[in-house]
Amino acid sequence: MALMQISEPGMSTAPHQHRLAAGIDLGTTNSLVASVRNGLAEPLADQQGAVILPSVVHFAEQDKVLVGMSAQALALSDPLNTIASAKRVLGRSSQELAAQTKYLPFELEAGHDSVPRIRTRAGGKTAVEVSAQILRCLRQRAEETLGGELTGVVITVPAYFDDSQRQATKDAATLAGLNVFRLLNEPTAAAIAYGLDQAAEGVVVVYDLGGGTFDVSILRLRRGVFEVLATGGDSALGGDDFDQAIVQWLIQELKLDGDLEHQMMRQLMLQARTAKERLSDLEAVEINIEGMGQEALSCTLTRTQFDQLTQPLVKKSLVACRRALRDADITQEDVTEVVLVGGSTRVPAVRDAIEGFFERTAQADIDPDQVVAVGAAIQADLLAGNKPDDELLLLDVIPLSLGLETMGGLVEKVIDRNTTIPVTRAQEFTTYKDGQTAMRIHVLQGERELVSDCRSLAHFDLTGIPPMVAGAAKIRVTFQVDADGLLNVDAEEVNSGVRAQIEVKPSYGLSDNEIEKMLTDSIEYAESDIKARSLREQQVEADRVLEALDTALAKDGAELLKPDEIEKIEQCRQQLADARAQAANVDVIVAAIKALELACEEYVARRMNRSVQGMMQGHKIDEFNN
Amino acid sequence: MPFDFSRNYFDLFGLAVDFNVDRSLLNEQYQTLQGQHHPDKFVQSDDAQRRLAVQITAHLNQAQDTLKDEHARARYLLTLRGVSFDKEQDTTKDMDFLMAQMELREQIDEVSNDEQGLDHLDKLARQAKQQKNDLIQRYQELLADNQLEEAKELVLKLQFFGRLQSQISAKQEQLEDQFL
Repeated sequence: MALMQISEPGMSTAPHQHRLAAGIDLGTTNSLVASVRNGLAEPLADQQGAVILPSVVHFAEQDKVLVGMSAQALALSDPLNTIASAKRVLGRSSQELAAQTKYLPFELEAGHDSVPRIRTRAGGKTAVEVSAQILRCLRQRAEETLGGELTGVVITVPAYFDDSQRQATKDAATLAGLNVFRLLNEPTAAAIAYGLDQAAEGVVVVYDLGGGTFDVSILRLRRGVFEVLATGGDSALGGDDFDQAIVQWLIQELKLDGDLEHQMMRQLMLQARTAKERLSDLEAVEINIEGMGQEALSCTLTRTQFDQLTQPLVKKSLVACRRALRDADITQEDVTEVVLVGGSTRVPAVRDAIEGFFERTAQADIDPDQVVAVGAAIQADLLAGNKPDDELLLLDVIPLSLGLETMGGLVEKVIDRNTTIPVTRAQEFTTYKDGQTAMRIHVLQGERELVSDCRSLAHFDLTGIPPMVAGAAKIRVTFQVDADGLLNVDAEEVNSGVRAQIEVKPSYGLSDNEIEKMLTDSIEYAESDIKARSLREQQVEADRVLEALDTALAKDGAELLKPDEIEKIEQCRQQLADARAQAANVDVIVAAIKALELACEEYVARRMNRSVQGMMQGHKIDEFNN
Repeated sequence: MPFDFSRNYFDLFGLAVDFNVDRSLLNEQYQTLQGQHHPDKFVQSDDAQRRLAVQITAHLNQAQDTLKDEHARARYLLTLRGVSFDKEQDTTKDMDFLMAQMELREQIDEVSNDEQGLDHLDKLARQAKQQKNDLIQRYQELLADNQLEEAKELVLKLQFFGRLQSQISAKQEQLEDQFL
């Protein structure tokens, strides 16, 4: 067969190994996975032939987890264990969610402020964990369809997602065992799907109104270069809000009680969504609500009424468009194309408003529900190295300014919004006290002047600054935003070259340890893996105990212990050493450690007494009272 | 060939060291270099190479931002000739200029909350732009004469216009949010 292989002159004869890659659109309402096969980017369907996976996760009895349609089917009968719209919680704190005063279709557990946990029968679940379930499901679909393990994926995020929302998305991917090539902004993904397809040139506006987020991006396309000029939006505005507007209207119209059961609320939401979707084609729809234990209710919603209800939302999106135009330093006339993305752009009033604002017909040739995943798949294929000769350059921007807290609770901007990424900016600080060796830096994201109006990303504690007189130390803090739009911080004392250590305290989101713990806890971890891991952990622990004991005995064992006491300890020591060497069973090692610790109790007590005495020698008692 | 971070921004893009920059050439060179070094090209590479790609492209972005912006470019040209700027200490001491700036800012603050307010803001923006252009004109003459200290004084004044422009934009946004 080798003889059959004919190659172009100048090209390598080695057969190119096609690396499996996929693009994932992790949406508020629906998620998709797409891949490039035979040169064509297309969404992958499940076994029933459905391309769209509802972003719904159901936690059933006995740790069973359902994702997608099967989960959605249980939304009414078991609403509190059926989690939808988890993306709204991703990277957000309980406080922020409370401030949004939006209906969330689930209950949050109390006491987890920075990373809210959704109450389910399987315990409190973070949005990261719920999203990971969705990603896992898509990963499985892709690997089954493509017939192999994925090398990597591109996951799309709303362009307007801030640092903690992006980080949370990446954490979810890690948890799902995915290698993330890149986080790609949703409108940019859509532009790739359109641009590469049609070899477009010019200025493209992507208006992306999804289930829970709104983005607008303005791009300049030229010979394979996709340059994002500006982006804007609202990470809490989407089709959900349109549904919500109808729900509120229904509550008023049907004179329903203000404090409704979750089941009733779910039914209202589902009915509202159906009504919204039908109003795209009809002038009026009848809505019927099965009364929970009471008579059925019904009313009629006309398209005009619906348009009135949702007008403030549409207007809000247009304000963002205006701002993006100004940031891009262009006007409506410079725009050559307007592209519609996201299911909510099917609402006629939305389409009319956009076309009116940009004074041109908007394009929706590629299915607005699929276009983002398709664009992500194209990017994933390129990043996997499957098309080494294709020239595609993506220059994206940071959606929100990054700043630092300064005196008086004000924010000083370090990196402006719509700066092309990757970007590095350094800022210098000095000490304000003689001999000061530590400093705290507060990083914020947002456009407003006051710290309280911006999003707190993290506190950095710099320690190990060499002691100098006040003002002499120069600490250069470097902010770096990578191609995923994620922030990294580094600090250095300029004069001495000493690298200050940074301890990051993320204001929101999970720490690396928590992610690691979740990975351990993850059901994907086979039980044997967990056992092997804890065995290794206990071996390490045993080594630590043995070493500590040997050091102590060598130092003062003969002094503090009688010979028979030493013998008893030595016996236990030997048992632990044997258990550790055989490495057969975790429980045996744990028991041996316990036994040894028990045998050493008296010895430890004597050592402590002695060290306290040693410390107090030569000191007056008063000194200890301070 | 290793990337040379120490080259000056003009050399980096193959441009002459001059205040007048050929924007389309800058853009073209920038995109070529980005195409070579962008992190997207190194997704499969090792950690060190990926980090380097981020550093190089961040450097390219910094260089391009500097050359694109008039104030940043004016300042950068002076630093190339050995003039140093101390962010905290250096500011213009021209009292008349400072007074005029204060006045402009007050006018922006006091713009009325209606459509006329937006027109008024546009007018103030044009006014500021004219003043800025005059300064830039003068700066170029001084630079040609190698009168660096005088040129530095103008750069210190120029930085006020950046802030003025952001203040005008912020006010515009505030007005738009109210009644658009």
